Amino acid sequence: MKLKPHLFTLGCASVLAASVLGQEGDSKAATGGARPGQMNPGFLGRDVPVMDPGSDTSTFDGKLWNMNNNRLFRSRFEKYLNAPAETSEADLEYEKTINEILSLLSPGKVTTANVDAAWKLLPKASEYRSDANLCASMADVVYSVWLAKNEVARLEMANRTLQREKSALEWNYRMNLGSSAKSMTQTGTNPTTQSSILSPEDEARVEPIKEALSDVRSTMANNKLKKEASIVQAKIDFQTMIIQYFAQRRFRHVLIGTRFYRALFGDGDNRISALDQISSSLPVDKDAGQVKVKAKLDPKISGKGGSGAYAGAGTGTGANNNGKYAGGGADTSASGGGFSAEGLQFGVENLGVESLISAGASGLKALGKMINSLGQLDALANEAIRDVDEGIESYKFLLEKNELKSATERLFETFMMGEYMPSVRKLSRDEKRRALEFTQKTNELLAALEVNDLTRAEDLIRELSKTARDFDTSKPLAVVETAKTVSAMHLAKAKAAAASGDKNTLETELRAATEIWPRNPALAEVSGAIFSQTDVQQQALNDFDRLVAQKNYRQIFDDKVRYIAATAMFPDRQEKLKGVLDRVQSAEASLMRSHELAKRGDAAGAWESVERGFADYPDDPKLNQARADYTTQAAEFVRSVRTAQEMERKRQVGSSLAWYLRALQDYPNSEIARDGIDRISSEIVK
Amino acid sequence: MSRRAHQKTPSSLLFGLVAVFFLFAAGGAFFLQKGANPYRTVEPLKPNDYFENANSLRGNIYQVEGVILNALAQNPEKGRLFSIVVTSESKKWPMPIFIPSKLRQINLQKNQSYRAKVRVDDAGILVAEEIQKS
Amino acid sequence: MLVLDSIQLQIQGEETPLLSNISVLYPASHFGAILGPSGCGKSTLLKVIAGILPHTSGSLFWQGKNLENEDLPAHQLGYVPQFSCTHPRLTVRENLLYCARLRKKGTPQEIASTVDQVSEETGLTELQNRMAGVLSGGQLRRLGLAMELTTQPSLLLADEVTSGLDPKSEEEITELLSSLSQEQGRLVLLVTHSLRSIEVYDSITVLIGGRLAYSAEPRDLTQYFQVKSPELIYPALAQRDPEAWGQDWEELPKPDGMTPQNIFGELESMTIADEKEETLQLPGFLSQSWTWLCRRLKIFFRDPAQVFLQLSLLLIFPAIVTLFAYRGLPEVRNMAMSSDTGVVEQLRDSLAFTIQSSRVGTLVSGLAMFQVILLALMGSNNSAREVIGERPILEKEKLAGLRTGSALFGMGFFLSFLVLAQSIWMTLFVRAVCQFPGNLLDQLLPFFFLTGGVTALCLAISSWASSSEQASLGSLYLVGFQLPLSGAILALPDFLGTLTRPFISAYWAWSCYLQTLRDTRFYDLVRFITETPLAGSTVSLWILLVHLGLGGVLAYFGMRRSQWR
Repeated sequence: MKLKPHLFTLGCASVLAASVLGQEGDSKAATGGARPGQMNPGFLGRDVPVMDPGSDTSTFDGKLWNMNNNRLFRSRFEKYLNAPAETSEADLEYEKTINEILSLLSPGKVTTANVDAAWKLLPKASEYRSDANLCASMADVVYSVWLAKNEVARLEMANRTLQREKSALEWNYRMNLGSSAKSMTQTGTNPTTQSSILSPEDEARVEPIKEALSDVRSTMANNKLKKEASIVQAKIDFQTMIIQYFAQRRFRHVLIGTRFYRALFGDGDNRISALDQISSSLPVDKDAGQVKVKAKLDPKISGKGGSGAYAGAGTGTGANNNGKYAGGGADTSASGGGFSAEGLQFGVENLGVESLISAGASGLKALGKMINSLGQLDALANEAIRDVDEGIESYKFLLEKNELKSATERLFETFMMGEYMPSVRKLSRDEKRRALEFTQKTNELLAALEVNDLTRAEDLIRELSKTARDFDTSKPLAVVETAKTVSAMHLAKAKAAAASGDKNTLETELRAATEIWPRNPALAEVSGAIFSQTDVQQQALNDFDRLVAQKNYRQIFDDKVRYIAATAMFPDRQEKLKGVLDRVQSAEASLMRSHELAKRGDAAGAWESVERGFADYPDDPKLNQARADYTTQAAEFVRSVRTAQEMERKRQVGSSLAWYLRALQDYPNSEIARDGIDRISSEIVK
Repeated sequence: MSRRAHQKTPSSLLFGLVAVFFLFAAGGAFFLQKGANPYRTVEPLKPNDYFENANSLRGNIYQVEGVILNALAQNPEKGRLFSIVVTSESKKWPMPIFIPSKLRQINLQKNQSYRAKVRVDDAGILVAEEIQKS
Repeated sequence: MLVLDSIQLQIQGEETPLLSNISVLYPASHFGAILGPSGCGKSTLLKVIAGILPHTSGSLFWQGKNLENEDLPAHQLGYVPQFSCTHPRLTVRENLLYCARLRKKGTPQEIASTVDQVSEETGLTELQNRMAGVLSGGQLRRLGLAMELTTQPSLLLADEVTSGLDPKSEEEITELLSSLSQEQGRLVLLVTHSLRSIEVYDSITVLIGGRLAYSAEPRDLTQYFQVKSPELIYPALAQRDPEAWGQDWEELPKPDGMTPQNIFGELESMTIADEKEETLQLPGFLSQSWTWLCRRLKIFFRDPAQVFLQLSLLLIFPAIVTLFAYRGLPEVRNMAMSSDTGVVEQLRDSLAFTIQSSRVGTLVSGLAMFQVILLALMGSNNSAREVIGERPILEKEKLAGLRTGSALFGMGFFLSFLVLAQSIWMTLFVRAVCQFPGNLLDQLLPFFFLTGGVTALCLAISSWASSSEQASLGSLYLVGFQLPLSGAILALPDFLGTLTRPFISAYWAWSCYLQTLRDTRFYDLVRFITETPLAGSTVSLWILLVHLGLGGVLAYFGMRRSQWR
């Protein structure tokens, strides 16, 4: 199932870009003209994360990833939802202080006194916990700007002194040159190039002057450089701070910063040079590689038998993840369907200082290209604040309408954008509670689907559909039903396999069924049945062994179905059983044949048939009984055969042969007699 | 002595003559019948004894008359083994008889009656010494 | 001199004797007539004198010898019966020749001269080459007489030889007889009922109802019977009871001639005559047989119907047998002798063999039996009428000196030709067509013995039969019972088989014939199908021989005994 909050999945260094993009997220109208045409690949290239809300995918660092769900943000969001509303006195005072600073620095009110007053409030604001000392660091930066400004004034004074000295020197020099002074003035900017045309006496005369003049000039140049450097350094420090606050989505601090900046550097130059400088000054190590944000699609449920629509998703997404599932998918591709509940697994790879710096540098460079002035930054911050406020409003409205899903999505978006905004922070616990519950439920649902607890998932879906009017149950339900069906089918196959003793299939099917729906009650039932079957099997095996030991083959034969089933997985016993059944079957065949013969009045034939069976299976009571019966019925023949055998044992060849012949005369079909005759005859003529 | 023209034959003489003739016939027949059996001096084999214990008859010579039932086995060098049926005391006794290869000139056919002079050999088998159709 | 002393002939069971108290004396060289109405016993008296009928009491003396003790030699007695004793297919001369050869020893010349002499005497010289069958009654009587005269008998008895003849012939015969009585002291007695010219006779004996009514010279006859002419005697005889006539004659005082002295005197004179006539001897046994055989052969070949019949049987019967196997005997497929084959194969084989056995075995057995039965039939045909058909002649010839054995021997010889031809042809033909294996001689022997045996037995039947029909029927039964009782078709119950088998020639011949196939499979197949035990060949031949012998002996005795009509 998919939840559709727009999660801005951000790498450490791409937070800014993500924020910028996130701003235009859902509400294109709201973003107004500040919004860049992100669809143009040429604009941002591939370095900045680009999110496509249509497909819920985000492109970053050459990778396309889905961002429907994200545990990191989800947990953070939940933490937020669980947190109480920041409406304590301290919070309110902090709010008030910040607002005061902003109002002191607001355009039109900027005076030295106001700036000073605002500067004095900064330490106070930083005393509150939620400020995280941001205001204190800002105060430091403002102070350092002031220090830089004092240095510049001192240097200007020194340069004025040097100017005067320089003018005196230039005068002297011109006096000394005389006639050539005019030309010299013409070429004054480049006295060295003209030196060749000076006479050596002049040369000697002006040399000291020249040197002094050069020193003054260089000193002045140095001072000038120093002055500029000091100012630029202060500006860059300041800009850096502001950008950092923006990246941290401390939009109000950004506003405070920009207002201070304007007040401090009244030169109207709002161009942000800091980003370029920062980035170029950062030691970029190409070899450190890039921080890779890896996202994995995590198919929570893989099933079979679903509709074709899921097949692609199932196989396509599952393939990357886990061999086992991939195998499962491949296994059942024939059945034409698959399903996966998609999730997103998120992780950072190659996370190190170098790579972070490297990423930061590139991010800043990119940012530099986009944001040219502090004005823009200021506008963005304001826009974000407004957006967050609107998001909160929207949330509250949707909550009223009982559209929890959308509400939660809105809240999540808003939270992601303006986590530290007072409107977000001040949202009451009760107000957050329902979103929390919904989120928890959906998370639970996801979890249930992750562990394939379809019963639980089904319950949750039902619950969710009750609490959230806009919750679309069709997809998850379809998934659940499909999974159930598939599981049932596997179970049925397993049952069939169990019945037929196909151990491999049973195992495979049972495992497949378990994987699809581990808590399937029917599964327990079936496996229970199979386990009980195992007990029966063991009993049957015991019986079998006992009966074999007793040579009670007939009982085995009478219950052969049971023993065939029981010995299916024991090749040695199976072999034994086969032998037993063959024996009894041959005995049985003998008996049947003998009964047939006896019916026809052929008692001798009947006896012989039984006798042959008896040789194979002498312990069979039925055979014994029949043998005794027919012995009396065919007494003459039996006596002949027995006597012949007896004589043969005694090596009375002649008499034995005669008796066999007599037996054959009594019963011309007698195989015993025939065999005996053949045996003895061949011996005689040997 | 009666007169020639009415000679009579006393019936007693006639019957006596006929009786004498029959006696003559019977005697002759008996003698000739006996003479038809070349082994009449040889003791006939008692099937019952043979069945009881052939080994006890080993070395003895008997005459036996029976119908060939079947060939049981043969060895070109030694001879042929047949089963014959001997009728004795109106019972039919099947018995094995071995015809050595020296007697191969006689044509032995199934269902044919033969008379033979046999010796009971060491294995208790009847071995024909002479054999002829009967 | 012939003396009849109180001759009485009583037939058992009859109250009235045929002859009663007849005492007559006939001197030698005497021509006496015996007269009387029909049934008065004249012929009977003649037969008593001839010895054909035995008188029950009284005595007969011939030349002083009691004939009860010593019969008069055959050649001294001439008896001419009422019926003809000639062989119609022989000429007069042949009849006379064979007759003479049978009765007296002598060279052919002597015989021929004798024949010429008697022909001369009886006036048959011109008829010598005429078949007896075409002779007239008178001629036949004369031939009969001539035949008796070949031995120059001292006592000539003529039984109604003049009856049924025209008066001229009658007169001639009477004249002839009268003249014969004048020769060699011959006594001629003529039985007649003709009363014409009674003066020819030396004496007349009148019988009425078996009693002697008169025996004296003819001239006293009319006076004694007190009739005007001899023709009136019979009515006069009928006037009174025969007892009375007999009584009258007995009480009449006899002339002196009938005294013992006379008788002994006569005896002496006759002794001389006897010595003189001892020179005439009977021919030998073989001579008689030979003569008999020659005559039989001549008669046989003179009878085309007989020859044709025999030839037909000879040819047709074997042909009938071969009809059943004109393509030869089928080949015999032997049973596979192996224990390797299964029971079903063995059974199938056995079944095939059984079917074949029953087919081939039945065929072979049937062919053998057919031959046997047809040969038996031919054998019976050979001899069934052989004796009975010629019985009177046989009796007549026996009386005239023919030995029974000689007749039988000759007959046997003749029959053995037939038997040989029949058995040989049957054996050869069937063997050739049906391709019977086995030794030819061995096969011929049983068939020959069988045919011979059956012929002999039928001859015996014929010799013992009282009529041809009886003989035919007897022979038919003999052959007819051969088949069912042989056991060849259906086995008899053991005891019955044992009991009947010895009498059944067919069984032995069949067995013996089959024994010749012993080395072939046919024998086994027959043995397979028949439950009747097959006898050994020697035994079979022996039994057949016994049958043959028995038949011969019985035939001998049958022929030997007298059987007059």
